[in-house]
Amino acid sequence: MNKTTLKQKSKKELLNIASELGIEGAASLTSANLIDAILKAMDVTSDGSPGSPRSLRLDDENLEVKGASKKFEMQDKRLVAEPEYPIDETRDLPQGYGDTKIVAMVRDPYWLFVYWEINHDKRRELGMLGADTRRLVLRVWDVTGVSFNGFNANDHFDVDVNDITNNWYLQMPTPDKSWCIDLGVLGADGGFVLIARSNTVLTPRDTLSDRIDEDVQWHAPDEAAAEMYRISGGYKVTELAGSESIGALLAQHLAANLSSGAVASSSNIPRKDEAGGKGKDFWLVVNTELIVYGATEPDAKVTLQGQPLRLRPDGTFSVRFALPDGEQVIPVHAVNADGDMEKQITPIVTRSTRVDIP
Amino acid sequence: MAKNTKGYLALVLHAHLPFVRHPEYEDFLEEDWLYEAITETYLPLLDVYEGLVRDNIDFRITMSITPPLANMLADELLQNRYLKHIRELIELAEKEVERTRWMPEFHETAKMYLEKFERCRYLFEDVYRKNLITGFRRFQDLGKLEIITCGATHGFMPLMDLYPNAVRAQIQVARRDYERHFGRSPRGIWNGECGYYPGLETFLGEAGIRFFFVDSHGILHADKRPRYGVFAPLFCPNRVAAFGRDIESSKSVWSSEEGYPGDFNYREFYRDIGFDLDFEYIKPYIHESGLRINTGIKYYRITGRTMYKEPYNRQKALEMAAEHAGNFMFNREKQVEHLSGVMDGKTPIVVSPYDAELFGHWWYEGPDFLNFLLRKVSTESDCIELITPSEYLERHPDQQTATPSLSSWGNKGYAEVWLNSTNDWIYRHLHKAAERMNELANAHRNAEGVIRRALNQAARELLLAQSSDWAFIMKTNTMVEYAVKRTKDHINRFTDLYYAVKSGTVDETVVSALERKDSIFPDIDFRVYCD
Repeated sequence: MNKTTLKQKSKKELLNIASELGIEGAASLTSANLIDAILKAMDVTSDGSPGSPRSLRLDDENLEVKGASKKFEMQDKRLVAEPEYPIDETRDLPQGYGDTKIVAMVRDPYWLFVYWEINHDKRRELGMLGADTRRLVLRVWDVTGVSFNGFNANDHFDVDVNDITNNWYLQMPTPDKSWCIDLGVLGADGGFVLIARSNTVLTPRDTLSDRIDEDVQWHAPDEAAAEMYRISGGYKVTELAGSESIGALLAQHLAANLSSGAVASSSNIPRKDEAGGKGKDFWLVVNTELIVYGATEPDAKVTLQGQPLRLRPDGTFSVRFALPDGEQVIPVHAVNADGDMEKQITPIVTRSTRVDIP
Repeated sequence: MAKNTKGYLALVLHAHLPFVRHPEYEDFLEEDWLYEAITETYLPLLDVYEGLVRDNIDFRITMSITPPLANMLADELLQNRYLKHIRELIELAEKEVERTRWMPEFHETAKMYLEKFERCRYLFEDVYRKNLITGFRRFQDLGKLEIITCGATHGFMPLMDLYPNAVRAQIQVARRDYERHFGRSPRGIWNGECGYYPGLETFLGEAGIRFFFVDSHGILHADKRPRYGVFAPLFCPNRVAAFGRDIESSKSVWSSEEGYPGDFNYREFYRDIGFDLDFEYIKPYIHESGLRINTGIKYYRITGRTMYKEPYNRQKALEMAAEHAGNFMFNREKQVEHLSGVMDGKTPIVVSPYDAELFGHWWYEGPDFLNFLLRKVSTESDCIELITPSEYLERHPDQQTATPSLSSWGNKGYAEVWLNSTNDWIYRHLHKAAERMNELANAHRNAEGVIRRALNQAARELLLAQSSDWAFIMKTNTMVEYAVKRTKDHINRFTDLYYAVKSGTVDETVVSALERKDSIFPDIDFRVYCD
């Protein structure tokens, strides 16, 4: 496959290829950009070496050989010579797996998430039926309390979706219901052509159950139930400071180590977002430190301001101090190993700070 | 003190970090999560427990130590790296004691860090012989600490429910791993993110687990009205108990607005010398690339909602922690007194779960707060008794039966944190991999040798991909790249193994490389995925 053959393909075909190559965001690209992305993803390298395993994704069958054949191709840029996983680790995930299916997931009492995939064969089949696959429909069945067979739902509604995406969030009219979602398309005659049917999901209730325990021991009549609900914080559930508020903070703290921009604090200046971040702002911090260093005989005993100093093996020493405003008198006292000779030198350092306001 | 118990308090700390271990790098930033948590949370907690036992305080606390965390704590490479890390911190703290000599407002704090880091080194190396698991286990064996497990990789179960074999594997692998570390079976579990869906209890029951936790509305919105709200557990129809989170006590610690950790006397997290000090000086203690990072040495207190920060005063901060512990206990006493009046003579249980890393890492004085609280409740309170869920169930075997509602402790209470436009793309891959793992396991039940190793490794890759941490990080919008990469890597590695096994082209060197890289669960058995 090269640029010329790709140019002869329709955008739909290109999108399918892109999907199998795991190109993200393909749907938003123009045909020309898509072709570029596909060629890049196929990655026929300039030095004539075999393409990266990514190109194998063009043909699902070929995937089977990739484990064995691609060893030792990765350049090892790591710091430690560990046995490295020999396969390209920058691969994207495929956009599909060659299935035709739709899967429903519960997000909360009011929303479902569905994702789907329609494979080549199914698309061809639909094409022959004259169905316009650009206009997909999600038929949402309320199957609460029924064993759904396609005809016995309590109710249904349709949501039009497009074929550029492969997932959708569905807002549900009522919590505590069972739902089943059909992915379909309108056929040439305007009728609904089923492509795939989802699993059945049950959304959670968002309030106290109507069911009262039959066992009188646990019998909770309205008043008692409402009171217990209240002291259990039932009415505060949504305003609860859950794990996320602080959990997210925690993650950010942990992350503070990672992204250089996350914490831009310098002395006396907290993170920008804490400072409000509004309006024009400028800051300057100046601090001073003092290094006192010197040398004597390696076996001498040395103190600085009366506190022992550690000498390096060659008899040199170096101490670093944060230097605040004011005067520091810094006697450095040394005694030789025999204890019969001594020296003292006392630097005196004064720091004062002036802040000039223009 | 002789107690007239009117109510129980069950403190639950959820200790978890995702499995981050990169032998291929000398200095890998994300591994610091573990080192920081060891220094600031896990060792200080162990130290608190040591002190309580030494002083004959009869305390009770529950902790989940998740399988990824347990695997990291027991990992030799990470243990040795931690030792190197803490030694470097001691060196830095020594320099800091010297450097701050003329600044008394920081000098005492510098000495505190030196003392604490030296204590960490001592506990870690000389007392626990580098393996903190043995430390935690000792307190469990003494009957003070109940250690519970968690899904094998902190998977978010409500979004896995379509694949029962995958859910079962999360639980069974966790159970086995727990047995390896703690020498008995877990009685309880903290489901990742407190995530529950009706039906999960089946798999918990199969694994011999007797209790789990749900957020308040999991109990309150159960399929039958809960007679005693969140102040008594519900038995699922299979007799596995669900304890509900108490909102009031949660809020007092969790809430960044009104919670204790925001007190102005407590240590400010954001002012770290890793960012504040001269580059040349701090360079050996930040990332080798020169990227400034937190060192853990911080000299300021929260002070207020201002940019200006005042120096930290340890003594004052400890006084506040003691005061907050007293306040927490007082509020619980009032709470249980009120409850015991409306619960027909039943003894209420107040369940207060928190992320363990909140104590110490985020709220620096958190371990001190716990220390004060456990002491106060044990010795001063005449109406509250500390309890573990297991003990509670032994004493109160008769509970209402109802099935809790789908819930989590994430923002808004359901699955949205882990299922939104930032991370919803992962599920088609996670689901496909779960389906394929099941297919492989059924087809190669009796595999031996390298095929079997490949299957075991495939199971590890699937489990690692299922960590809820990745979806969570994508949502929080910090270090998203790492979370995306981990998801893709594990799925890709899984897929490679899947095709290799299917086509009979398993390459031993590939399997070995992955075994070393993703080394979690050394004795996993892939057959947990069989039907």
